[in-house]
Amino acid sequence: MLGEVFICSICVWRISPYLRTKWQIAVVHFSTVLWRPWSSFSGDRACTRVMSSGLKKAQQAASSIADTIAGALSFQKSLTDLVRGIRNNKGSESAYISQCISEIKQELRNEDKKVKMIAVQKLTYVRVLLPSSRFSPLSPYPTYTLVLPLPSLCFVILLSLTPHVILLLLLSLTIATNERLRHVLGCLFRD
Amino acid sequence: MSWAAFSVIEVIANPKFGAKRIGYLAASQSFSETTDVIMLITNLIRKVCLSLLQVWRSILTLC
Repeated sequence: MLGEVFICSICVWRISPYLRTKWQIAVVHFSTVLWRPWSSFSGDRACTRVMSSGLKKAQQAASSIADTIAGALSFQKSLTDLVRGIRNNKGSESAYISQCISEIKQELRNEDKKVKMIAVQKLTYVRVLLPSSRFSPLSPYPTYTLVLPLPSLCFVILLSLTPHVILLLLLSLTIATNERLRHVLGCLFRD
Repeated sequence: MSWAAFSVIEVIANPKFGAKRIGYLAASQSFSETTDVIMLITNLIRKVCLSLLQVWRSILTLC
């Protein structure tokens, strides 16, 4: 019984960085209390075994349980939470992002695969916002522009015309755009 | 992001395709010629390409 209480307290202690408010801590305490009677049939012997095998092993077990619980209940910020947080902290984005990066650094040390995956996803988003990135809004590289449907519409209209009209249109376009050609033609017609 | 290079590789080594996709995106954004662990990824990509089932599954996921 004592061992169980010990492991529960270590679990709560390991989860506590993931918890944000006090009521969440209260919920976790309550759930560990609920979980105790179910495991008490075989729990005592297992706990004494864990206790005898040493403090380090118990801590490892507790930390892995805490990791899976934190992954499953997702106390972790998702990418959507990050984006919303950046939008909400207008004016103090740098402080918020640096706080998020310190959280990400902790999550990358986590054993759970899903937690690590979401951490890498958030880190990629933050990386893309940097000015050195190609896709950044502050990027020195040329970025992609919005393509309007107007050129494709013109193309469809061109295809619907007869070949002679298309040739005439193209010729007039080239004359209109090319200044040198216009000059030469003007000279020809003047003479 | 160079300090997280090994975590990116761990995400790529995940058997789930959704995780792999996130890892590939992170690698394409953050890795450069000077990254040391880039040799590990070539082996991972070779393994994925050799298992045809995985490739078909990933193509179906993208469609």
